[in-house]
Amino acid sequence: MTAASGGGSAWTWVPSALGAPDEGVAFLRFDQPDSPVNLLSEATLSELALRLDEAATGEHRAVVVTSGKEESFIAGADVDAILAVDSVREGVRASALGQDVLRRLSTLGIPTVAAIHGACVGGGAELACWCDGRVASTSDRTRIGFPEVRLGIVPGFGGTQTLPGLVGLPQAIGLATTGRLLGPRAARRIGLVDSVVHVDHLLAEAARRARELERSPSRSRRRFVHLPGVRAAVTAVARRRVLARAGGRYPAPLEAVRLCRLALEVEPARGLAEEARALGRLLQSPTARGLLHVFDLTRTAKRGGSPPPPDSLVGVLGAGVMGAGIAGIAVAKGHRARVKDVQAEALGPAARTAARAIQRGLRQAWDRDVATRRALSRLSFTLRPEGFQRADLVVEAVVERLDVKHAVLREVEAAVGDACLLATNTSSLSVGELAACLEHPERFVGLHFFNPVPRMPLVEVVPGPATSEDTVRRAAGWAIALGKHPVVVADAPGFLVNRLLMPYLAEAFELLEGGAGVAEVDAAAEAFGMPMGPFRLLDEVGLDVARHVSETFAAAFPTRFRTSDVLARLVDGGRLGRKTRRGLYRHGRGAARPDHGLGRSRGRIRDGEIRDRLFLRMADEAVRCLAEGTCRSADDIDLATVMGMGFPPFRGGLWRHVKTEGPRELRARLEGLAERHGERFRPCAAWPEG
Amino acid sequence: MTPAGGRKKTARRRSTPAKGSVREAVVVGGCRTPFGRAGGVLEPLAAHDLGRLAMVEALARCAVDPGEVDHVVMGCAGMPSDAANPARVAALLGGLPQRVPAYTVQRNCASGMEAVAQAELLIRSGRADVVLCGGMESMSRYPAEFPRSFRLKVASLLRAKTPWARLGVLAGFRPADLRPEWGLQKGLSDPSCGLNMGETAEVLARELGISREEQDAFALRSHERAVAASDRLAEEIVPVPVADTGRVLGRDDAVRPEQSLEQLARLRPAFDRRHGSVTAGNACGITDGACALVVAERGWAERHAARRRGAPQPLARVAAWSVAGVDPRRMGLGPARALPMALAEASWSLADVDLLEINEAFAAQVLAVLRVLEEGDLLQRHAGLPEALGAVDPSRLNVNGGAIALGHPVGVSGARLVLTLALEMRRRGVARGAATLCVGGGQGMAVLLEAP
Repeated sequence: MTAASGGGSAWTWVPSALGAPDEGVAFLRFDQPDSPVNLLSEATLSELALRLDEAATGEHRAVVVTSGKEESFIAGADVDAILAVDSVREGVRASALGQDVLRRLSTLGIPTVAAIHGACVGGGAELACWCDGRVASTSDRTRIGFPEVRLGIVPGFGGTQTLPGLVGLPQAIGLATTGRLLGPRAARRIGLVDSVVHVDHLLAEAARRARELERSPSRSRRRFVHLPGVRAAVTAVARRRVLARAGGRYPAPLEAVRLCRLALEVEPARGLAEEARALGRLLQSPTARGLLHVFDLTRTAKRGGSPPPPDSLVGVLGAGVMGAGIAGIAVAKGHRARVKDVQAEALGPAARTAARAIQRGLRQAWDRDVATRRALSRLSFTLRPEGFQRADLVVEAVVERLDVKHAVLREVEAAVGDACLLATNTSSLSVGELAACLEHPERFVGLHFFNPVPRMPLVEVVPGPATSEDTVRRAAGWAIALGKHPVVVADAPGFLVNRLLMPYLAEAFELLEGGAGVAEVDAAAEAFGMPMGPFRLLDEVGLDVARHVSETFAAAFPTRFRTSDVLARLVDGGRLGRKTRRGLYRHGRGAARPDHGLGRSRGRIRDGEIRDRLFLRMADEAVRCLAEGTCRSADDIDLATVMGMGFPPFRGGLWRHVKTEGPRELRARLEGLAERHGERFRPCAAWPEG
Repeated sequence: MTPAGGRKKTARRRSTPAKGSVREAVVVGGCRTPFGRAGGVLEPLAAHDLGRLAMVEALARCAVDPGEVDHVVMGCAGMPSDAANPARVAALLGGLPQRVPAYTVQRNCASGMEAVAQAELLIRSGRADVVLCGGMESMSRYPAEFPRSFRLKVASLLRAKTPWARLGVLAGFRPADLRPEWGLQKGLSDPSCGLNMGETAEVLARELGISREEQDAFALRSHERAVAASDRLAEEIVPVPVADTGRVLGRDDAVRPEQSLEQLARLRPAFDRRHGSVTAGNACGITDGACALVVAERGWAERHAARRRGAPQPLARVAAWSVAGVDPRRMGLGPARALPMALAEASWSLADVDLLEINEAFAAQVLAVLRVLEEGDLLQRHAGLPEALGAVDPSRLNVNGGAIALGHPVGVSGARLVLTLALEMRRRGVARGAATLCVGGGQGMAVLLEAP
């Protein structure tokens, strides 16, 4: 090979492991030292440039790019480096550097092929797109995609310029605007990779593809959708879809649409320059900063915790929608689950709920049907207490009544082994009180999943007074193993997420009683960036549940909470929300409409005031939580609000929002509201000064 | 010298009983799915899915780890075409370790009982301590086939080289070529004698003079007993949720609580429309289901019960078993020959048997067996049937109802009879029980159980 590589280098030429037939194909392996994954940074990119210079000397007939990491190809650009970029010009420069280096993969004069096994995302996927060919492994870890928009930016190493030519404009826009990651099956279907083989044959397949490209270079296909008129229509539809989804608060997807279209209309140099400029600009936007902050938090949350052994048994008590969801994600992640209920009738719907969670979890798997069947068969249902002996974790998700839960927990403690972790999915009872019935409360912990379990990425880990540190670590490890972000919170009413939601929902009823309309309040919250307004959320949760929680809060914090008369009246009238098809809205076919007779707007409250009243009470509650130690840090508030209640991610979470707006200013506004609307707005003493 | 911990545990040592004694097999426990009417709630599940559910639950109820099982033997009469060895497929899906071998047995209606017999053999011979055995059947999923003529024509179409030749073959296709042949229908017919199972029951009814009224009364009794026993039967059942549909089967759904003699009398004969007496009402129903039992070496089971938290005491010892051949045209008489053989092996008399389960393939067939047991071979046609053994006390026979009410998933019933019998013996605290069934093709099989 051309050059012997130095000790610390990331990119090395490796001799072919394939033997004679592949002579002339050079394998360029990326194996970043001292890092669990390969990242594209200024250092690794410039080293790649040197290697590509060597490749251009004419000795080789083709280059295959491969990874030295076991389970990943290239995990993208270095997010820490992205976070450190502090000016538009710096961003443009970094982007252009990456473009220049990676672009050479397509201008070497010899075929280049990316051999993808494991994560190939962001900058990694862009590198692959610059190659002449791409082959991928069937592994479940193989994922290809462009998640940059989730960080508020666009692909900056030429991804938006190469992708449309490879997969066509509609698919390119779809990938770039959603950040969706594709498994090998989907990647092959849309033409993002040329072929998919088992990892054992990956290098041989890459070499074969390289020789094939040597004989007949792939030419970009003519596509109907790339005709000028069609192209314009496609982009218009995509823009409208993006706007409908994000309401215009996220600039990055719109930029992605524009850039993808540009790739078909201007010469490459100009397209790339536009891309670099867009990246530089977006990177400095508050949206990107908020999203990057959230990303940083999720990275931290995924570390820590002691992971459960593989193929563990998870016991689930209660075959409701929560229990079935937990069982479903557990088996989809390779564990076994056993669900117990007292009623046979509950098991059928539970099996269906779990099966949906499994299908969702395995939809990108290469052998999807077999994987789904195997996952389903790791799930068993029972009405009896046997079969939990070997469980590593048992989660209780039965009806929210202390006596029932005590009985269930006592029964299960007698049925499990000594090392089994016991958890409750309660949302309204105290973990400490629940633990009182147990002989070994040190292994008992709250593990609060959110509904719907397969979709909601947050789990609150709630230690009771007797819970051991080891139990908390194991519970967090389980949350991570099930694909969730754990956040440790104190055993206080509502824990963290519901505690913060409560003033927000309570204030929504105050607004309603004060003359605002249902739709008006929801619209104000949605304009702020919430995925759904408070009343829509209440209808989904169920008003009976809301009333129960509200009464708990009114008892715990009598000065600040009361149960709204409107809520009580609705529940008494049997209007419980979506499940009874009538709540604050009427749910029928089509869109839900506000129910008649309920708070038709009398137009007395300004939009800005609705927003302040909803979110400032939430902010004040967050200040209290932090002061009382309900959560460990302000970062936890951000993580929990974004992941647990859908607080607008572009604001970076509730606490970051407070910081951005200025605590002094918000506090003053709260004082003002307290003067006009009552003591519930009076800010607590713990408000920060800065 | 090998360090103490260095020895690899490659083969597990079988527990050896004290010198001179025999390794005995005991039923530790078991469980079954409800039996569901074919084409009903259980239709989405293949035989091996049902088997998997019963197996997982049987192990759980016996507090046996999957890794403790030495062998898996499951009966299945109608093999699923997508699982050549359904016992192995069910075992792997059920989380049994890959090193645990599995085989499927087919002795037609006795397949599930044959699995129990195989377990006893494996244990007695010292080849296994713990065997997971039973039966599984999805009669809903029996295939429908194209006629042979269709297959031949398709084959020649594929061989035809020129368009003209192809056209010629195509012209030879007839609508009749597309008429499906039902695996269920074919499976319930005996090609050696040309009779289907119902027709063999008609033979017995005719020859032994068993009236329609007797048959209907017996059928009604089966339903009544099954209804009365529904809480007891629930103890042996694990409910089956079906993920595809969100439905659940918690009870045997072929049992008719409202059955009356008048309704039974109104049914038309199913096999001999003009002169017959066997109807859908006094024959067993077509159902899906599975049953699994943990059968273990007695010493192993006793130690297991003593050491493992939640482990049950063994239910019953397998005292003897037998299989016998009879005239295929009178296959229903199989128990009349197999039961005496088993009793002789155990040196029991019929009067020693406290509880008797005779599978109710047809009311006429059970009544025929009872008559032959009581009076000997009336017509002297079946050289080899033993002398009269005595009358069976109806209060000891099929006390929780039988296949006429519950249904007869062919490969499962043999295992279900053993499970139901063992549990009822424990409930009543009686010492001896027998389960026996007739087998399509002219066989009979019996298993004797004794309190451990």
